[in-house]
Amino acid sequence: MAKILFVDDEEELLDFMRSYFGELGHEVITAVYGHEGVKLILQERPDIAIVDAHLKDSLSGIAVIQQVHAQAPEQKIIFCTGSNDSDMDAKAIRSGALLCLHKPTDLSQLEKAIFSAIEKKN
Amino acid sequence: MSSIFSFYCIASACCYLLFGIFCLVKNRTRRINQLWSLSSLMIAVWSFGLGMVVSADNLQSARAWLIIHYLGAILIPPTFLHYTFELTEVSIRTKKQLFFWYPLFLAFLFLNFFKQDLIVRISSQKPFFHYYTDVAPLYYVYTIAFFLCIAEAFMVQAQALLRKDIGQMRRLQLVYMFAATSFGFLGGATAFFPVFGWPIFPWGMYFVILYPLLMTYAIVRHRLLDIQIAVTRTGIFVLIYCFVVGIPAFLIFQMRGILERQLGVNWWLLPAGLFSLLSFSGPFIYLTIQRRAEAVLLREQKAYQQTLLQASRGMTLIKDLNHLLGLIVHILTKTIRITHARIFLSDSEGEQFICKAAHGDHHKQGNDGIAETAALSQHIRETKAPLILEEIQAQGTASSKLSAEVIQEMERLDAAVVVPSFVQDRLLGFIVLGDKKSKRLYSESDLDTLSTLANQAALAIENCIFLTNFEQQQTHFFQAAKMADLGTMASGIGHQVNNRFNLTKAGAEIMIMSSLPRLRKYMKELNVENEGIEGVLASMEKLLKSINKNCAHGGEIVARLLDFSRLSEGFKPVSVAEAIDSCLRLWECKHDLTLIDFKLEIEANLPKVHGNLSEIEEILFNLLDNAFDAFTMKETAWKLGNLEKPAVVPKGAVWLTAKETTSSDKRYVEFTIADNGLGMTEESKKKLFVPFFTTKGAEKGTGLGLYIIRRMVDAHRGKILLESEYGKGTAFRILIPISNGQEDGKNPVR
Repeated sequence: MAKILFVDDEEELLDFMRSYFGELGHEVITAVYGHEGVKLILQERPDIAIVDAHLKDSLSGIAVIQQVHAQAPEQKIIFCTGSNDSDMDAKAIRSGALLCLHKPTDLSQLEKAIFSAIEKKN
Repeated sequence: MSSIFSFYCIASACCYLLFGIFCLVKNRTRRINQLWSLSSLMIAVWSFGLGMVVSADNLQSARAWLIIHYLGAILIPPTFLHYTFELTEVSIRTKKQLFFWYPLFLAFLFLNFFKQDLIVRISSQKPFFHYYTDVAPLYYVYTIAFFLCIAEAFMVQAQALLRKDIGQMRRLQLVYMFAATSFGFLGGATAFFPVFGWPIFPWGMYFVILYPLLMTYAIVRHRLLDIQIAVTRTGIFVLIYCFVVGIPAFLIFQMRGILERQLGVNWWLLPAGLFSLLSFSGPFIYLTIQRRAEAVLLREQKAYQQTLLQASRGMTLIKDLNHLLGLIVHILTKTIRITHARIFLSDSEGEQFICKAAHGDHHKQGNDGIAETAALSQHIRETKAPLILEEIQAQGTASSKLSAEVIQEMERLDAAVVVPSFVQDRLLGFIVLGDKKSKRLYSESDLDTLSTLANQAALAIENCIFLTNFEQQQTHFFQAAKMADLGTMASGIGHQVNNRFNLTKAGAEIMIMSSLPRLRKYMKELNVENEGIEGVLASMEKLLKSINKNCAHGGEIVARLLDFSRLSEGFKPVSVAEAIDSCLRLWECKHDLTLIDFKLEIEANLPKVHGNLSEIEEILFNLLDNAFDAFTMKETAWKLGNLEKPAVVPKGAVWLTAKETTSSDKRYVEFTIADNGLGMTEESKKKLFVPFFTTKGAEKGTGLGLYIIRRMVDAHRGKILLESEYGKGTAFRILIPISNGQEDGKNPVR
């Protein structure tokens, strides 16, 4: 079972994710604030972190990735955005994200991305 | 009596002398001016001599002055004739007559100096005067020659006047000359009466002086243009001063006896008082009469000048340029009653003047532009004053090449007058006016009014151009600001809208992937088998799938619209490998690449392209996405029987290659995205780039992908080429220009 951490400003979505992946037997941790996200990722060291571009505080998703990557370069992060902006994608990838997903994401696609990312480690 | 007469003679001699000098100074090199000055000088000598003769103290000095008097008298006819020939531009053959006249009068001159008794004598027996000319044997010959010569001159002038091909202005000049010289000669000829012993006082001599006065006044004040007014003013002036000086003089000389009898020693008080009274009131009378006369003469002119001035004041209120220009030409044509009017304005490049509005007869001709460097434009810039065709023709036929060109250009435009419009020192354009329908000339005050109008028009035109530009700029600014706002808003909007879609989709998907299977599991565990419940579950799943699909589609549309809003971002050198790499990563997430054969070929050491990384990624991603779908569509077509399924089913394949290429001498990087999918029908190919056209079916395609790709490629000054065959596959080739290393903030094409 994997430890998955979601950072997203959309609490409802976090609920969905918690219920879906929790149902599948994974450990799901969530955060709505960037600072909280950084703290939790560094603390919990999840198998994978899925970070949205927009968060509830001033810290953006990319800033979260940068901060995490600076302190834990091996941490796997998937960047997720609804802005559909390739510039932002490129920036996220440069900052250390493994890949970018565009919202609205397919749940199966997300699942596949998460597990293929986790597998890469091993 | 004789002393006042001699005073007049000397005064008119001075006038002639001054007039002659004035004409010479005005244009020293012109033949006609030289001749006119010479002829005036002779008249001055003659008049001066006469004045001195009649006032001489003794026979001795009278005889001496007689020689001077006749020096002028003898040379007047040939010089005047010569001047007339020059003025009327007679043929060389006619000019040859001068070879007869000059020797003849020179012979008289010779006699005058050395054998005066043969031609003229001095006499103290003549009426009115102490000393006066007396006839000698050859005097009759001289008189006949004099009259023949002068008559010839007048005949030549009259012939010239009757010619039809001369211009308005020239005709007026000739009429004026004719009238003035006949005035002078008829007046001067009265000096002959006493010679032959006829008891008629040479009153005419008093009029001789009017001629140079009139001419000088006309030339100085009115540039010979508005002769009608000049004549009126001079006429009134002379008339009034004839009374002012004439009445007291008449009282003194003619009525002295009567007055002395009536008033005694103080008789002179009456003429002196009258003189002072008249000379005081003279100017007032003059001004009043002049105003009245001009009001009558210029009623029409004044009326339209007033209209034009009013119109020019109203012009700055008009904000539409074409309307303004149309109005100006219309007003000009209608109020001055001219054949046509046109406005030429400097074009935006400042290369030529273009006809912007025209009204009147010659609507369609001569509307071509006038180059900024043309003689006419240059001439206008130099003079900064209205150009009158006739004036230039009259002045410049013999002179410079420039004026010949100017005349030619004005004739081409069919222009009687060209009025420039200046804003400060910049020539904005000019107004071209045709002839007046009345065939009358443009007067000086017309030109003043037109200049005012043209300059007001220039201001109004500037105003209009400014307003138009301002409005356009404002719209542009607004548009740009809107786009910029949209750009900054785009990611925010994308986030917001996509989050809604994402949430809805995730909810639906969780229900499909988790809730429904669990429900079924529980039902199985409880052994519930109910067709009704199964039906409900099946329709729930169908509905959820529909929600899922529609959310995906909505997200896709938002994504394309966001692409569109970002179409104008900075261009810089972009690494091809980087662009391909990041787009493939995204593509891999979206599709299971194990389902197809994917071949990637990137030429080593590809140069960077000039463009926007995210746009190039977007282009490639979309084309790869389409290529992947193409095979699925082929499979669907096989299933539906639209396409014959081959015996050996090939695997779907997508190729992506990038290499350097040249097209019309420019270097490009060529990306080829090819597939062995369904391919396109000819019908589809035509509509390929039309927005909202899709072959993927409404739930999958937005119909915006290729449209935006095309816009993006165009923005890169690139090319997009398509090869496709239905059933075989599709290949897109995208050419993006190779960067020359420069970076610019703006998109080159938009």
